[in-house]
Amino acid sequence: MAYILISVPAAQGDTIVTVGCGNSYYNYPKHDGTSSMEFSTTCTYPGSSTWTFSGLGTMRHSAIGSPCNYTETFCTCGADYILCTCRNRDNGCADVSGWVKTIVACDVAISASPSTILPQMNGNQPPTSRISVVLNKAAPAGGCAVKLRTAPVAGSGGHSHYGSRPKGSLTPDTFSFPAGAAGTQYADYTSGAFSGTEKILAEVNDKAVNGTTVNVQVPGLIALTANDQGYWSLTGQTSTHPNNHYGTPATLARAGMMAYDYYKKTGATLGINDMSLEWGGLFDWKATWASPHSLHRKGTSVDIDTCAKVAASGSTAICLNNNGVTVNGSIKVNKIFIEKICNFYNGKIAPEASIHCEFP
Amino acid sequence: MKKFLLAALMVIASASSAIAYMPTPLKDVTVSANMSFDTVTGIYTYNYEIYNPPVNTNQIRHFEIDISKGQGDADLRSDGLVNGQCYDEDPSNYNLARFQMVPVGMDGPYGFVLPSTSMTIWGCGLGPNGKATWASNAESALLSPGNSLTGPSIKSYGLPGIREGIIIPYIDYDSLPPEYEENIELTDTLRSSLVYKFTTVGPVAPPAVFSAVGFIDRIIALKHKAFLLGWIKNSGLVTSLDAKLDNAKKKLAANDIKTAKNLLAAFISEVEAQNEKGLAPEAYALLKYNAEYLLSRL
Repeated sequence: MAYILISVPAAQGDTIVTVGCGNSYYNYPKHDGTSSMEFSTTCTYPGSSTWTFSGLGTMRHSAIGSPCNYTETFCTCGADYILCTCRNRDNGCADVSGWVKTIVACDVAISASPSTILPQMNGNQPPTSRISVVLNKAAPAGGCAVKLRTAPVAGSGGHSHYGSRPKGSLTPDTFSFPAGAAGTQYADYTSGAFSGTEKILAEVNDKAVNGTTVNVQVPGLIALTANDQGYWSLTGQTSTHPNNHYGTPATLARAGMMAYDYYKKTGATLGINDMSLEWGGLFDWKATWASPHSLHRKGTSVDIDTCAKVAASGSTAICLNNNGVTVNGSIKVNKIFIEKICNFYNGKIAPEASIHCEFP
Repeated sequence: MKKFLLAALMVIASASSAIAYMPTPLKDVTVSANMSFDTVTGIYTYNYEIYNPPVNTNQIRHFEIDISKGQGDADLRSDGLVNGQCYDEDPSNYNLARFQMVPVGMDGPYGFVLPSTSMTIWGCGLGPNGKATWASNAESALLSPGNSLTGPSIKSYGLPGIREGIIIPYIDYDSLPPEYEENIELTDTLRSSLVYKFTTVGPVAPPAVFSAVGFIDRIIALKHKAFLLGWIKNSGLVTSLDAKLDNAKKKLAANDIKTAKNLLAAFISEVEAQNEKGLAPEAYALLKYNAEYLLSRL
């Protein structure tokens, strides 16, 4: 048996994440029964950097004097090792392989628990997720410095608009593992008022490494769909918030029953306007990343238009809505009647330009 | 001088228009209850009248009476309990499936918001948390100060018992100050501050497990509460009623049913004699019908 022994220093902070390894060279057999091996191999690192190993090894054959003349060296990059194999191309000669080098690097893993948390609501304790920064192996000389930061994922949480989107906060956001240390340190991620996916980005010794994500979300919201029997219609969709009719299952049921009760008494179709976004959270209907909807965050709010469409075709009814726009074929919605039905389904009215019914 | 007066009026007008709308709590609202019993069907009818005194500035939009069913109460029948046109069936069924209530049939003030629709001026139905609820369906039907609302009624196999209720005034949400906009907590605080609470007589299920002595204790407790509520108007009458109930209780405890029945009959006679004299209709119904129920079970 023969082993190749090569010393390859690892740079601090380097962690191998993938593995393209590759080049191979012929060996040069010598008369004393050894073969010297030159090799070079390149591994890919986080942050699109690469790291090339090169070295010279010696292989001694078990049968002195009968060297294998034609060998190739192949090296493979693993997550934390490099393995080189001497493959023999001559008949009768066996392949040999050997452990070459364990990479000494800052092997950091980031995770979030829970990975889904609520958005911040009015007056409630801010929801937090515990972010674990785990150094799996003892830090190399010089230690490992880890920095975290948050980055909201554009378009997530039902907001199809851009700009300076508020994000959650991390406390603390820097961590230090001294040389030889391993273990876990923690940060608290506190959600902001907006729902969506937030990336927790990490850098180890100024090189980007894999982070994690936290979903800021009111779970379990489902979409109210249009009613083909004319009890209600869906209104208020905009290009910035195209899906504005999400709610808890109980809210959806109550909203539908309210509209049905209204339809039965009046024959008119209620326009159901803003409810909540698909993941809840602050619903900035003006797409400014700020209120004005201070409710509508948790799937329990239902806005009802102030004009309702009369079912009978050719109706001459005219209604002036809350924006001062004339709506043909519509009647003014009786707010007192809506408040009564809202109350019957355990809801309460909140002042708003439209008719706002808030359910528990 | 005319110019000065005009200017002064304009200042006053602009100042008054700047005063924000803010509804004030209801005061001194009276809820009167009258009960009757149909000996053929065994159904009690509870008729209510709400009076909004002129001292208030608010109109009344909604009122409700607790009809929840307590633990250990008997399950009562619902056959023959017919609802009137005010009854909002769908939300009532929704709440009936979620809350334990004494079965009732409800009716409300007669009249329609528009002749062409089926919308009565006041709706009625079973509300959340076991409440018999009436609420106005239109601004024109709100109960203004100085006016009474008659017509709300409940039919039930439930015996007269003491029940709590609330009255909620109309709030013009569109006119509230801007800080109320989409502020459910602040709006709730305001709503709660405006609510008027009252005590009345409403249907209660008797205990599932009947005990004659236990039931006479219940009548004694009702009499005591009725006195505290002012439905029994003098303490001399209380003493007289107490004497009969206490004696009847002793006889029941001694298993002297015949004497107990005679004493209860005398009690009922005294209650009937005092109806609308020493006893308000609420006290009359509480004492008479509960005593009659006891008598019928001996």
